[in-house]
Amino acid sequence: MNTRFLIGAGRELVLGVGVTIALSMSVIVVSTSIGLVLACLRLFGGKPLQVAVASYAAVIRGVPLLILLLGGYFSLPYLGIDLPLPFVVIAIMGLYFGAYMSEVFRGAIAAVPRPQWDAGRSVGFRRFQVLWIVILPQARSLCVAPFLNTSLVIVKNTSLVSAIGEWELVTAGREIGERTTDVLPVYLALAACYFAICFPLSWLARRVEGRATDV
Amino acid sequence: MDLRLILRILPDLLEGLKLTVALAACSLLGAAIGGVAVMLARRSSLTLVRRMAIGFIEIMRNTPIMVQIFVIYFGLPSPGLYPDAFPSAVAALVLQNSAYIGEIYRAGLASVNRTQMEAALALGMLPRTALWAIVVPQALRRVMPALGNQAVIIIKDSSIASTIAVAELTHTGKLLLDRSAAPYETFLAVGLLYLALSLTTLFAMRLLARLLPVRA
Repeated sequence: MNTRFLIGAGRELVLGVGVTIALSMSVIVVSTSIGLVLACLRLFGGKPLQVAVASYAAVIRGVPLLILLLGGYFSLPYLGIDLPLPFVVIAIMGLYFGAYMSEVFRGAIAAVPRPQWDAGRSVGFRRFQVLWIVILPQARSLCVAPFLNTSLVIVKNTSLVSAIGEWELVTAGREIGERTTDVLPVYLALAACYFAICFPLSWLARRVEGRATDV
Repeated sequence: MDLRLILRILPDLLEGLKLTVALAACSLLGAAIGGVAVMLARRSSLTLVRRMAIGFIEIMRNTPIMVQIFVIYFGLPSPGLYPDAFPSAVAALVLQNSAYIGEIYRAGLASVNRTQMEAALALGMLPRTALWAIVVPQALRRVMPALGNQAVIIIKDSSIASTIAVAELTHTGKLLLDRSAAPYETFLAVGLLYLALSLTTLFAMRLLARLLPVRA
């Protein structure tokens, strides 16, 4: 197998890894913020808000990210909105994975046993104090593993933004592939780059999962 | 927003939807069978087989489906294989989802209490009969919701086959956009079709779970 392309074009792959990591981290930050807000609305908002957030999550779960990326990318100019591509990509992915993150946080808060609420109230805390002092610290350790798993999905899905022309790891790989005749090693190297980013995340997720069961 | 336009492009989109259904159905079927192989290898008593299964699962879990499709479609011509676009997409979806579904099966089997097996053996059943008559039906019932979710993930991931020009729903949408220059209508219609397909699949899987002999 010919690996000489790594000497000439390895720099591009490294740059691609950097862009993919930066993109993933931005999306993780945005979707976590959106997810936290949505989870709070879902748990403590009024009935109409709860239904609205639940339907948003249900719709997002049934539609491919690629459709939203393509739809957003081609629709925004018609609406007169002209933003730099990275912003568009981060916004769309943030909104998409915000729905998944909201489920992560809602699930973690709902997984704290009901008697914890009653116990908190009976000690004399107000509802908000129970949430802040009793429930959230327990929910935090419960949500770490699902949070890491969702982050893993986010990293893998940043590959889709290459379909609307955002330069990242897959684009780097394709550019190198287009300049050589022996393409297989290039794509295998591309897969190895993703593995190098993703494996630590999934390893950590599994370790934490094993530990969180005694909560 | 032009609703008449949606009606006009609908027949073309339905053609694309057919191919999406074919793609997802082939992949789900393949992965449901491949998952059994992965699960058996993962539970094998031979260390080497078990390690290989773990390696396979890790590689599939930690690389994007898009890159796997590219390795097969663009990469295999290097050693002289020229797979068509549709089989390449199915192969990538089957490989990745066999890993996930294998783990779903394994978790399902592990979730059946050990005492069920012991009780069956105490009654004089052969280990094979106990496994197939007692443990597997219970595991199957618990596996169904996770399988339903995985089916929806396969439907959504099948959209990535559009990047290697399989003429499925997403690709059809992109081609129609080139002619109509109406992005909201086109992608709204495509999105709704995907949503309808996902919801129908979830519903069908739930119905299928009802038909299983053992209730949770």
